[in-house]
Amino acid sequence: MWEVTTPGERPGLDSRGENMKRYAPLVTLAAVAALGVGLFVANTLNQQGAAQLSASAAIEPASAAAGQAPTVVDLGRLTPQSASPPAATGAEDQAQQQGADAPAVAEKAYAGWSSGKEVSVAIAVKAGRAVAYVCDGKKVEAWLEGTVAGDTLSLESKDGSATINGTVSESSSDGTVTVGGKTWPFTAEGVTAPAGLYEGRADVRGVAARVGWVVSGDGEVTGVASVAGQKRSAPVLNPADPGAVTIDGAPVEVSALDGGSTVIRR
Amino acid sequence: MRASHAVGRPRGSGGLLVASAVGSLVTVGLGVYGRLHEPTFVAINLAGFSSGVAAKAWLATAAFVLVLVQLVTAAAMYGRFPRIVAPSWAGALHRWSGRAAVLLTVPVAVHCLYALGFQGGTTRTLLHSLFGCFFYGVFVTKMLLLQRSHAPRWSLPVLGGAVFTVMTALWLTSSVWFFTTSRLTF
Repeated sequence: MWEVTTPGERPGLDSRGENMKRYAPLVTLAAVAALGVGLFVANTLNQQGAAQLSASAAIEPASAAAGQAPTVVDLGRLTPQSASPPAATGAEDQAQQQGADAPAVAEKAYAGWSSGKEVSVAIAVKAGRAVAYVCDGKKVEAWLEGTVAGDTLSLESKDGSATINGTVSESSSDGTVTVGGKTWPFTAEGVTAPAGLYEGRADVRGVAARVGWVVSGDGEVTGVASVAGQKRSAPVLNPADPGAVTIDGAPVEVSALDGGSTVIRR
Repeated sequence: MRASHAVGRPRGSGGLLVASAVGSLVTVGLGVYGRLHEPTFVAINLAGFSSGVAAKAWLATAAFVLVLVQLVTAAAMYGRFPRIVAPSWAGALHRWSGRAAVLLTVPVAVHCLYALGFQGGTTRTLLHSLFGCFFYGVFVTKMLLLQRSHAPRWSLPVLGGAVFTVMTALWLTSSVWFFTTSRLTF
């Protein structure tokens, strides 16, 4: 469309007001930057107000009557909140130690349940790294990251309130899962696609939404959606047709996660 | 590249390097922020639209229309239309439509970066994220070059063409995608 050309005259520069025009592009840049920074500040202030509002609302335990009145949680965290301060980045510390102990499983996905089917658990491991998603299908969920050292699995959520500790083998993973202030034993069997761990992201009326799904080996799908910090049951996911998922009419972009995926951003 | 040898001394390639470096920093900076920032916050919505996405889609569409004005006025000023001499107001129209266009994109981009972040889950989001970061880098480079009178003559059309191309790609991967998946809604 454009040729490298040498026009007779540079556009936009005439003698009148040339000096002013010389700096006009800088003024334009400054206006763009000022508008951008202003909107960022407005967003940040707005967000801080919302976070303070929700700080007093404690998450209800998983056994509470679910669904009808979603708990407002800290919008900045997709994991259930706890009163304890955010833990140090344990996953990174463990990642450094893990070099000494080679992972027993190179790459695998596991899906299963806590002992009483209170929560579903999906774990993906890859090259010593592990990610997991835990949810009750209604309003409790947690995203976790961690490591596999030898056959030992150790993950935690961003604020440390949800943890998974256990072991992995080629066929299964079991251990204990803590989420929403409760701890259960869990068993997850090794699965192959389309079973495993899915994440969906959407923009619902200008608000970012995140969805997690656990697809078990027998095809059972559980998930929780977090829209503007409010948790609810996830929309139906058909692993064979992930492009068809919508939430409140907005298309959801679904991706299958492996152990190398990032589910916690700091 | 002939242009840089057409005059007695090389035309300010140092300025071009500086401008490109600053533009690259802007692109990389936006990408890194979008990747590191946890994109789950509520973002401020614009009044008058049914949803934040609809507002973004229409703002981007308005910006795209203005970018078409940019293309036509720039082509006229560079004599790309046979037998048509650019009117005297073409330069002013080019500048002001450009300013309006880029200011229209800012709320859209801030919303993208703040509420959604740099996403690579699908080809569309990956391309859109890359183009979005690239757009502001190219734009900064072009603005910095504009105020240098000794920049190589080929640089402005190339950068202007890049801005137009990237803006078109951004519009196709956002507004057009939104209108085709969610119907033409306000």
